[in-house]
Amino acid sequence: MMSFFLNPWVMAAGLGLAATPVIIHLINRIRFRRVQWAAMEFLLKAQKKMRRKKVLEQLLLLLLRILLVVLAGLLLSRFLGSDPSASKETRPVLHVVVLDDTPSMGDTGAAAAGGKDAFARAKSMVTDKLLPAVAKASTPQTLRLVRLSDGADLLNPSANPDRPADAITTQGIEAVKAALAAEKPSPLHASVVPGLKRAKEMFAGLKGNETARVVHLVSDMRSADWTRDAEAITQAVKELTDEGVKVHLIDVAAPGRKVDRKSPAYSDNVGIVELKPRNRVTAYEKEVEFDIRVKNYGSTDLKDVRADVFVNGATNHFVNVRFDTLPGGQEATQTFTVTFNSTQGATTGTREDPLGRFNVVTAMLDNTGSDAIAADNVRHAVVEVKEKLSVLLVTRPPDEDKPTSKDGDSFSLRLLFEETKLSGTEVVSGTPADLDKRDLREFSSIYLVNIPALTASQVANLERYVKVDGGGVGVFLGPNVGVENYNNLAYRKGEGFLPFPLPPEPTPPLTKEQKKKRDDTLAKRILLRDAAAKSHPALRGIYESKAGADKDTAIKVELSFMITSIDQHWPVARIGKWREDRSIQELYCLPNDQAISEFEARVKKLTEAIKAKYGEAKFEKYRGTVDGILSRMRELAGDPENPPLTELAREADKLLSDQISEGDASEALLREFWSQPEMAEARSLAQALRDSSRFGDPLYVARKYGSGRVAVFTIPVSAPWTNWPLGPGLAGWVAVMTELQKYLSGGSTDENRTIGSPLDLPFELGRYKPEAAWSFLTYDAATAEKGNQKIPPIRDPVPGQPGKKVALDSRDGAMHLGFGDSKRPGVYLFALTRLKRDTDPTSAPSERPEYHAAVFNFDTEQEGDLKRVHTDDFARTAKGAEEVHSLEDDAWLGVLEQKPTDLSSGRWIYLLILCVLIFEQALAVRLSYHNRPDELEMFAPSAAAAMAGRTVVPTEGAEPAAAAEPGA
Amino acid sequence: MAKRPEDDPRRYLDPQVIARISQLDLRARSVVEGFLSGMHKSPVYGQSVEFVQHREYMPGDDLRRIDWKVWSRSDKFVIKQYEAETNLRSYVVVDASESMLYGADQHRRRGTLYKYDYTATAAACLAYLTTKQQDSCGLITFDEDVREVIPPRSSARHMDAVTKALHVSKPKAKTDPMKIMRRVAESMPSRGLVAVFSDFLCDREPLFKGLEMLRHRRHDVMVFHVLDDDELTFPFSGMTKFEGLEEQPHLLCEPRSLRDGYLEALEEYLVEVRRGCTKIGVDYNLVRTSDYLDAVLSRFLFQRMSSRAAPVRR
Repeated sequence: MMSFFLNPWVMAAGLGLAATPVIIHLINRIRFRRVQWAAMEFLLKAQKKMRRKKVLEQLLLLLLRILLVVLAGLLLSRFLGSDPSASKETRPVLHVVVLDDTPSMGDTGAAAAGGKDAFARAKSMVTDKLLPAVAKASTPQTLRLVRLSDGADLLNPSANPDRPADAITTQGIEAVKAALAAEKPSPLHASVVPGLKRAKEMFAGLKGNETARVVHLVSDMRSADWTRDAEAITQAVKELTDEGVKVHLIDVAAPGRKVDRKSPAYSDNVGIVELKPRNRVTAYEKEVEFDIRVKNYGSTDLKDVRADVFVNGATNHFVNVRFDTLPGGQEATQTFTVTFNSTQGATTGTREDPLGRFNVVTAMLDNTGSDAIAADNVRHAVVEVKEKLSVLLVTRPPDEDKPTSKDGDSFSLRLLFEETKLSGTEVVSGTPADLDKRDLREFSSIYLVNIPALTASQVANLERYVKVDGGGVGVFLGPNVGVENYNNLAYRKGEGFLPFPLPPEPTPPLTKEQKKKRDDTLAKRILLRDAAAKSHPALRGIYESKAGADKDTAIKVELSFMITSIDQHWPVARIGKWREDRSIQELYCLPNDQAISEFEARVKKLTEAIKAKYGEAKFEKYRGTVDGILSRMRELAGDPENPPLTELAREADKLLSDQISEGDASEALLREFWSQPEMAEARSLAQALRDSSRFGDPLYVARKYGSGRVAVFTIPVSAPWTNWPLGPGLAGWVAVMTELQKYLSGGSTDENRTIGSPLDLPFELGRYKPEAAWSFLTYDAATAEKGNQKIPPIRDPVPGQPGKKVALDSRDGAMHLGFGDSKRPGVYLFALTRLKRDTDPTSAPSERPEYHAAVFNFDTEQEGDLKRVHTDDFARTAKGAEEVHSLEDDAWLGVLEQKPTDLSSGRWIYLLILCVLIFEQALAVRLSYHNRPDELEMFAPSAAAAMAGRTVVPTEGAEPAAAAEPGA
Repeated sequence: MAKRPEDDPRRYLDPQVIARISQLDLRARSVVEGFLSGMHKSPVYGQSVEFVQHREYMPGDDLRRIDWKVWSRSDKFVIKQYEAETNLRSYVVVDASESMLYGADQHRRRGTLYKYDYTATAAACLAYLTTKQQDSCGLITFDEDVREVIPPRSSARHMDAVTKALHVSKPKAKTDPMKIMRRVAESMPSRGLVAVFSDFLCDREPLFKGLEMLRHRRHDVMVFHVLDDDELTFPFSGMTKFEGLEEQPHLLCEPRSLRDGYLEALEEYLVEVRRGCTKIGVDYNLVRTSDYLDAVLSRFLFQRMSSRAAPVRR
């Protein structure tokens, strides 16, 4: 009985006092005064009438007063409830503290105000508050301390499974402090879920229900983590709570959570989300473009954010990256170019230092204002720089190809690669058989020029080269191309690398008249299929001007298209599955060479569709212009001299354009005309007419295929089908081919990998030793000082030491280099040993080293956003967990101290007392018989009249005459 | 200019003032003198049944007394004056039962009048007033039986007998109104005015029968129902034991809890008494012990005038 109360004697006294109202009542019954009373008759009547009601009321009042005393006694005696042991843990407790050490815990947002970063606050929370509170508990308390990033038990570094959990004592806390002293936020992103699961694993060894289990998740509770993994967190928490584990969520981010602010403030942060070279492999002295994507995760706009660029640790002064404004919550992308030569710090490696070919390009943000996390301001990329880029030129055998003849299939391509602008390339000639023999990964790109047929294995090799190795294949369809072979093997109903099926036959040669007519017409003979194609990676270099580039390139190329002759081509139909494939894009096409008369009916239909709708008054101002254009279109379509179709396309273009003469406001704005809903149908007709009259068959089609790229021209690169490579349109040819080569060799750009993400590089089965070595290379840009100082490389292991080993496993018909040990931002270099195969030349060595590089960066997208979880979301996502605790909130620590909770810690007891008190007072006032002024008048008007010295108003029956007023 | 207390002729009508006067006859004299002074030009003088003379009408004279025959002849307003009648008998019947003793000690301490004290004073006043006007006035005191009977006289020494009878009649025993009223009726051979002073805390039926008997004998009956303020307002609080007077049971209670019920029962009782009196033609007056005594005297004189005026032919 005594155990039900913290202060049992108070309760005993309270019970004694509960009799007070009864005693007072009894005393009152003893202590009475005597009155000799004549009018007993009325008194007895009143008593008889009101006895039952009064007794009940008085009894109720008495009970309420007793209840009040009892409640006060319960409160003061600190009643522990009917089951005192329920609020007090009597079992030993195992605490698992999951310490969030993800990069976001490096949030220094509060540091400006003299505070610590979130991780330091977390450590302080554990060692200065949590554990001291736990140490006060009366039952044995033990601890396991889990690092979230890798799940390691910090108190059990050797991961000995038999090591018991550490006791939480004063000495134990000192040991925890020592273990945490050297801990810093990891660069590794990790979800909360594995931490909770790791905690669950640690409870797995506990037998039965003898030990109580508590998990403390000490984290910055970012919204990004909790939103992305909401379901998994809910499940993980449920699994824990279902097993009776108490889960405490401790938010250590600054500022602390307040009850009245459920969306707490968070720190501003800006970081580089991506740094991507457009070519993974390049030739020495060649330019490589890099895209840098920066995001401002804060809510305030940033201005003049700059990025310093380092190549192999050396500041690159030739690059200027600057973001004039970076609005809050938004990202921006800039492109910069690095020329890989010795001036800009690039190396191609040597025999002694073969890994020197991997050039690390580092970008680091500067002038970022209030930036909470520094780690995401640096990002690395790697580019392999070779002396020359190898290109495999696959042609028919030399006797058929005639490589040295101007009429040969590949003459113009060889000329281009070897003697013109693409001097950084090394052309390797080959036939389709080389596709079987050679290791295609040596080549930055492969060109198939007028190849009649490929075998299935050759197609498979090519497709693996493109799909898996990220290679690029350029295909020039010449007169010798075997339609059936291509369609069956290379296209394979859309599964192969060829983007479209070939038509049965190429177009017939142009007649003399047709050529003359074409030559007499001033029109482009190669057309950009879509304005959007200008930003395609294969054409971007031509159309998108960049700093230092020739801004007139696009004009020159477009002009060259007017004097280029293409007499024959493969008329690929724009129908079928490939038109819906978004990975395929038609870049250039030929003009439509159909007779204009074939469009007469469509022009007529368009005219009728427009005229049927434009009768309304609101179209009046457009009518004149529209009529004029339609009239001209009808004239052209019906012209017996059959003018070029491009003229009809031009008129259709005029019709769809909004303004004919720029700046002439008097002209009708046809944009308004076409925006009217009545014109929707006519507009689609006009657009279809314009497109079909302007665009002929496809000329240049590019596609992404796996991780690589494929580009197909429906023409060969030689006469007599075209004079483009060697004719007057040469300038355009060179420009397009230069971009083509860049496009094809840039297909294997690295992924935007983040630290900790798995790497899987497939290799040819049986061609490699099953073990590879890896080493780490990075440059700590944060140590760079202003000026020309070169940042020293950080290598692990240091040069001269053997690299760490990683095994290749064979599965799915390939060898896979799997790597998941990336823990720092930088480049991971892999050295494999390639074995000789029977088909290799006899001169080839039996073993040859082969190198690969992969870059891993900070996961800015996951860790950069420091927005915090809305307080209400915890209840939903972590259902079953305890209320989220703030660092500044110490009240909940009493639970850990195993302080028994009693009635006084709840609110309902006070509410109950208040309610009883109010009821008691109300009843007491009602029963207190305070004389009301109107009471006498109400109950005894005759007496009231007598008291007032007046005559009572007769109520019924005959009344005597009014009595005289006293003294009247 | 404010009137000084000693100049106020009604000062002796205040029960608190009267209570300071120990001798009943002195009390009566003080009260009546004060009363008459307060009435100024009272029209009560000269009421009689035997004609004496005419006199000129003066403002303030009762219009009923104008001799209209003279007016018709001479067109002058004259008043008929009659010889005063001295044989109007009046009886003051005083309840001297135990219930009239309620609060005697407290009232004495407070210097106020309790029910019997008030009643005795009022009775003495009436006797004095009556004899002073040459009428005869008798006194009967009673409790369970008639205790004292003073036959009506009009001499000045008669007051001594009255006050003596009031003094010696100490309240005791239970009231039996029927029996008393019969005795009163028997004691009054000729028609007269009967003023009954009582708290009437008795059975109502015999009371009304007794009063009806008086009325039956053609007496003019007026009832002064004297109650203490406490009985009218029941102001008690705190646990109290009410000890019933006149053999009533005792009751220990919290009086405030019963006040509403008490007042309701009291009202029921007062209404019943008032209606009962009215029904049988008895003039009913509820008087509380803190009322000025002129209320009693006024009502008495009014009734006396009515009684004397009744046989007069106009």
